[in-house]
Amino acid sequence: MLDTSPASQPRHAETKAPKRTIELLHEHARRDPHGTCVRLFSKRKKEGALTWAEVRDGAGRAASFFKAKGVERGDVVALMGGHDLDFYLVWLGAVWYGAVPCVLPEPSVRVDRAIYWSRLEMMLQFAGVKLLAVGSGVGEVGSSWTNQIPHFTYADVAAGEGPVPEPLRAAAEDPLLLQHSAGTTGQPKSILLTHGMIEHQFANMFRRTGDHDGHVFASWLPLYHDLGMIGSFLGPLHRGCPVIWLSPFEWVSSPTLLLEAITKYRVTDAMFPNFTFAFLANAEHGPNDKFDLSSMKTVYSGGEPVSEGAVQAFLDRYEPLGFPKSAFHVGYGMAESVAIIVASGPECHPKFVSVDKERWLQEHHAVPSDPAKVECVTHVSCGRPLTNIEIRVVDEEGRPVAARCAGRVLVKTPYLFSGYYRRDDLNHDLFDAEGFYDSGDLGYVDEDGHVYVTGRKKDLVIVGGRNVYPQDVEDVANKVPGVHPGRVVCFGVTVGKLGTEGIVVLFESDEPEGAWAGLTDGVRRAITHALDVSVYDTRCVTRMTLRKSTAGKLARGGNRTWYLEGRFGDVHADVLKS
Amino acid sequence: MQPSEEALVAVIHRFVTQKKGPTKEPVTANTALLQGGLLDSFNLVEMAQEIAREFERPIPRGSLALDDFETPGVLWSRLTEIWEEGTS
Repeated sequence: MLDTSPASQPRHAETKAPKRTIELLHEHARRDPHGTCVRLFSKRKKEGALTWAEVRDGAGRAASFFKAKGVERGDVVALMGGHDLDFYLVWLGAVWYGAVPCVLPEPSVRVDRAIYWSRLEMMLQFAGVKLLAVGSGVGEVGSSWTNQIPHFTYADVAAGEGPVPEPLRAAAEDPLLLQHSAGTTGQPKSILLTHGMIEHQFANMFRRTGDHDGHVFASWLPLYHDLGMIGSFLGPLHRGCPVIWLSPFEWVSSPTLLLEAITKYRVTDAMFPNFTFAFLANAEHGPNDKFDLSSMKTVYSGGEPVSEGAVQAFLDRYEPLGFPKSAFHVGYGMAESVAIIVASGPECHPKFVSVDKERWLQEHHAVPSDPAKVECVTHVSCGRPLTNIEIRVVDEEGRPVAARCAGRVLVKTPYLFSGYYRRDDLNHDLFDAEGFYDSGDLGYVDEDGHVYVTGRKKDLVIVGGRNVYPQDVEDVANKVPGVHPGRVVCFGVTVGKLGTEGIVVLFESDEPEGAWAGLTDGVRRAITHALDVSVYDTRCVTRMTLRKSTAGKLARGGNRTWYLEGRFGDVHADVLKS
Repeated sequence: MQPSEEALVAVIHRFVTQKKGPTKEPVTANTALLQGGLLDSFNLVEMAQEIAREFERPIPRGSLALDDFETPGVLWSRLTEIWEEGTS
């Protein structure tokens, strides 16, 4: 049983001088060597755990391995394969040595392996990866190129080789990790995060979330995703609290595993995307299940828009099982500024506000209203900006708008990136004259300083917290034989029951209607193979049916409107018509 | 319904058709459910619950992982293991 007594819990050290990740690791290991750092929670694998001392010692050995294999300080090393305790040792070993770890998504059973490895090869080459470490369960490292770079298992690395080097005394501006964008883009969009950026993020975030005795974190999030890496791996590491770690591949098949972990280990903190609330709200419980969620202190929703319906359904189901409503929180941010820049907290809970629907849709003005008197929609706030974060909402011309009026959300933060890693093609005009970055999101701020993110300016579909770029989907579909090239459009729709978005693909074909079912299967399969995403709805439509913009291009927004109106056939009842 | 691989394939075929519409080829034991885009992460749980209900056999929490849904044949192998463990 995990020892969660306050005496055994290393607390996040409040010091004036920020401490680097490895310094904190040593501090936690000195203070509580036998305390749990991470525990694997699984029904498929043998459960195991590592203490702080074991993680410290194992990271030292892993650092010796990197040195012995000729990795140099500043070199990028890639890790692939998540749910493996040795991941902690390898990742921290890289940081100990001064190499820069980047975590890559492992191939799931969904994706075509040849396509997966060819895309991965591009990422590895782009990042200049010097060594690849692979977790158990990933299988063969599978391309002629990847076979040219040294690759080892996590176990090899964690075993070490030679004397343990001194940890690098990193400066604030030294790189800590390379974070790839959590999406489908063909060209990698990566961000180099420095030690200083990470420390600033956590100082800010911990100030907002507050402190309490006996933090225990639980997570199922993949570690190549920034919510997983920053929020659920590095955050607890910096804070010095244990993590109960679930495999995303197990969790997705049994979401109530998370509830079992919370009950058994008296978990206090978690973070996950909105769809998780819907998933758990709809999950079937076994006849002998006795979940007790009363230990929870904070559950942060992040990574995708919050839907009031999903959250309320979760609360309706789990408040009776002890979940305190006050534990529900929201965070908003982006990888370009590490992770979180706006958040609710114990002293500023998220607001659920009913606004006049008509005025919102017509004027983009959020007017709080009484649902008994006018038709309303509910907006959920993300809390207030963290310390020294500036949020500015502007119109299309860049002029600030009034409170409660929607516009483009610009951000300026002390831990904002300076550009995408090795992407000079993208790194122009990223910031305005005052150093604000356009988030690509739409939203507003109320008179109380609460930020509401209500939509996106950029074309993006977020499925279960994962970014999917319509252009990538369309590119794949365009190449499927039978699809009329250039006549494919992709957009997202909100699936109420799932609490997230679903991808819709519409395409035209010259083939007779009898062939459409096969074409649809082919398009769906091609997209999943290539991009490791599932399509919610794929439809072949009659030639020259798809809507064009005034510029003559296929209009994603326009076709989305027609789709929701039912012009391409009946729309599933779960799809929200807005 | 008496559990069998054929019965499982029928349940999955029905489920997939409800979620994704008619497919050109019927679902068979070797149909790539995930790679074929016929199932996604969000409906694995729902399908597992449907199977448990149809066959009146529980599927213990955590006993299935993503890989088990690769094809109906793979899923059937895993389910028979689970149900045999349950009775031993």
